[in-house]
Amino acid sequence: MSGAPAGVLIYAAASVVLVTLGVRALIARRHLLAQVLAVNVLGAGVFLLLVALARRAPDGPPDPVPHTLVLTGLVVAVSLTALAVALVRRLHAETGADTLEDGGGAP
Amino acid sequence: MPTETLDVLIALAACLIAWRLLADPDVVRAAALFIAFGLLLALAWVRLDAPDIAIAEAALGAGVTGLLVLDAAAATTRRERLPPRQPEHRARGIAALIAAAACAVGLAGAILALPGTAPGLRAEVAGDITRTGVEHPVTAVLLASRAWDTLLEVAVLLVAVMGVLALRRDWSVRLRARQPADPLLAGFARIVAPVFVLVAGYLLWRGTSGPGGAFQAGAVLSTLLLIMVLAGIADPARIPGGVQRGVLVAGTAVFAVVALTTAIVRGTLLELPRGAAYDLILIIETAIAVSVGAALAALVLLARPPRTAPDREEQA
Repeated sequence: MSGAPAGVLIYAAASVVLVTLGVRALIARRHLLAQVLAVNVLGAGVFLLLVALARRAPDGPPDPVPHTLVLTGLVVAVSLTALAVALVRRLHAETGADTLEDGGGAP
Repeated sequence: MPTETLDVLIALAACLIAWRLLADPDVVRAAALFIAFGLLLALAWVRLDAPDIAIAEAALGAGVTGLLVLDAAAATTRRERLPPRQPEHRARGIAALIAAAACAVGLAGAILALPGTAPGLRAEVAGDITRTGVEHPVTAVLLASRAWDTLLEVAVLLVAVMGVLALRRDWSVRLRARQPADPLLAGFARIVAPVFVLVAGYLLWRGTSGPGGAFQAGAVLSTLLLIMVLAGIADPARIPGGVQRGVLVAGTAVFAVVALTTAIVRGTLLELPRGAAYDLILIIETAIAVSVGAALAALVLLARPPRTAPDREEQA
């Protein structure tokens, strides 16, 4: 990444931190809604990396293709979150569980 | 370098909030922090010259996602029970740390191996944009060069609505508004409603020449719908089910019809004819904006259990 603009390096570094935090929380956290938030932070890290890398264009506007990928990704992320949250709510309504460990399978 | 200081501050604050929200055992507080995180990201998008994403993030990432999780956290257990000190839980924590560290090292290595400057696909997009009739490269890629992806994206949103609907215990599409209208909220909703419609229309129209477009307009529309329903001045139950379904399906349907027509007439899927490309893009975008607005609002509203609580207990 030699010669990259400072902004690209700053946000690329932040994206690594976000992905790392997201992966850790996705495995370590037990509450399903916390896991949903972890997936979202992980996704935000990926989006940030894509948009930061699009900014590497030497001059003029950034590469529009990663921008559209992220725009699509945002809508898909919201769809995923909504479906995951609906599953968590149904699980809670059926079993009272908020994790997949303590009796999550048994009504 | 004051501009880089701002970037460092935004990046640091986003990482700090992400860390706090993922460490918080209280899910309601974590969801509230996620909204703040989304707004900080919107600032980052502006700094990275991605205004399209900034608008979508502020409404979708921060608004709708935060609201979905907040709502669910209030309906389920709010606090995570602290994990018992058992070997398997400790092992899980260690596994999480190892996986996270591996991701960090791998990702950082991959990023550092990339060249520092790259023009990307700018030239290809610039060559493609002339036959679309639109001027904004992001819109051109979204609706001409990568139209197939966008068609599937709209379909994914529709499938998510169907999934959420299927997971409800009660099968009707009908929703109930909060009965007594909150006077303050209702007054606010009445004042902002025309502004929201204007902003959504402007974003949709502007999408052909600058930042904005169907998804941003849809996100603004969904926020308006949610404000009106939550304030109690709009009752989705009074809209006939057929109209509700029609609005939800419109974006996918119009897009699919255009795709099929181009496939039959021109032999290539979504190869928009040069002369009509601009008009077709605007028609598709309008349908998508309406459907995205309705679908996002539906995702939030359908997740809520029906208001007739006594009935539910009888069923259970």
